[in-house]
Amino acid sequence: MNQRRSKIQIVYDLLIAAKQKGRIKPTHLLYKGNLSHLRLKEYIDSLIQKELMIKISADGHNYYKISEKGVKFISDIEKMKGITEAFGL
Amino acid sequence: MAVQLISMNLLTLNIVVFLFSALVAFFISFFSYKAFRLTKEKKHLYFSIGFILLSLGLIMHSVGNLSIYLGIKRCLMNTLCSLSQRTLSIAYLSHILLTFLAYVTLILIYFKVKEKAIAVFAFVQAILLATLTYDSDMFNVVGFIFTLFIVYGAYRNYKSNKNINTKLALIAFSLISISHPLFISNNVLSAYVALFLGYLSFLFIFIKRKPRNTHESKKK
Repeated sequence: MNQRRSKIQIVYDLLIAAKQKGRIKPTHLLYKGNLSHLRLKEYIDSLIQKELMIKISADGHNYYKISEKGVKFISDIEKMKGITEAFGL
Repeated sequence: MAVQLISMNLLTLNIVVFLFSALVAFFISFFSYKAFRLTKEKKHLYFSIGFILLSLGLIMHSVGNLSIYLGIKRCLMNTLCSLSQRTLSIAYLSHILLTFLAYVTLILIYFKVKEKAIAVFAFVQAILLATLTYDSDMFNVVGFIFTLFIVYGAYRNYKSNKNINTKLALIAFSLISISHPLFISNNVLSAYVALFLGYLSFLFIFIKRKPRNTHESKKK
C-alpha cells in the first residue's frame, strides 16, 4: 500500500520537476506534483514567497523556474527527507 | 600518577565523544527546524526541540567533565588543586534534566501522543526523575528505560517502513540505549564506543545514496 506523501516530498518533487525542465508550465507541474489545482497553487505561492521558485511570462504563457536558492535548497531537502523517513515523522 | 593519566585519557575521550554526539544531535535539530520552517508542521518543530535538548544535555556533560579535566591538570601541575564543585553540580544536573526531557519528547513523537495533558504529565515525571536521580547509576537506569521505549518506537517505524534510513535510526537508538547499562557496569570504554557508533549511525542518514534501479539492472 502506498504511504501518503509528506509535504517535504511534495516540495522536493516540484523543485526537481522545475529543475529538470528549466522552465515548466503550471499544468506540467500539476501532473508532475500529482496535486489538485488548489493545493498546487498553495505550494507554488509558498515556494515563490520563499524565493525558491520564480514565475516568468513568455509567449503569452506563465512558466515557473527554479531559482538559484531553490537549486541549493534541494540538497537541504534531501537531508530533511532523510530525517522525516528515518524517524517516521 | 599513572592512574591520573588513565583518568585524563578517559576524560579526553569522554569529552570528544560527547561533543561529537552533541554536534550530530544539533545537526539533526537544525534540519528538522528547517523542515518546520518549510512545511509549518509542528511535528518537525517538536522533533527539533527534542534533539536540541539532547545536544544541550551532551554539551553540559562535556562542560562537567572539562571542569574535572582542568582540575586534574591543575593538580598534576601542583598549582591550585581543586575542582569547581558548583560547575560540576550545575553541569551534571542540567545534563540529566535535558537528556530526560529530550527522551520524553522523542517518546511522545514516536508514539504520536497528541493529548497535551499526557505530554505535560510525562514532562513533569521527567523533571521529577531528573531531580531524584542525581547519581550516575540511577540516571543510567532511568535513561535505559526511557531509551527502550524510543528503540521500540524506532523498531515499529522500521517494521512499517523498511528502508536504510529507518534501519539506521533503529541501530542508532539501540546503541545509545545499550550505552546506559554499559556505563552502569563500568564498561566505560565500551559505552563510549556504543555512544559514538550510535551518533555516527545518525550521521549516515544524511549521506546521499543513489536510488537502487533494480528494474533497469534486471533488464540489462
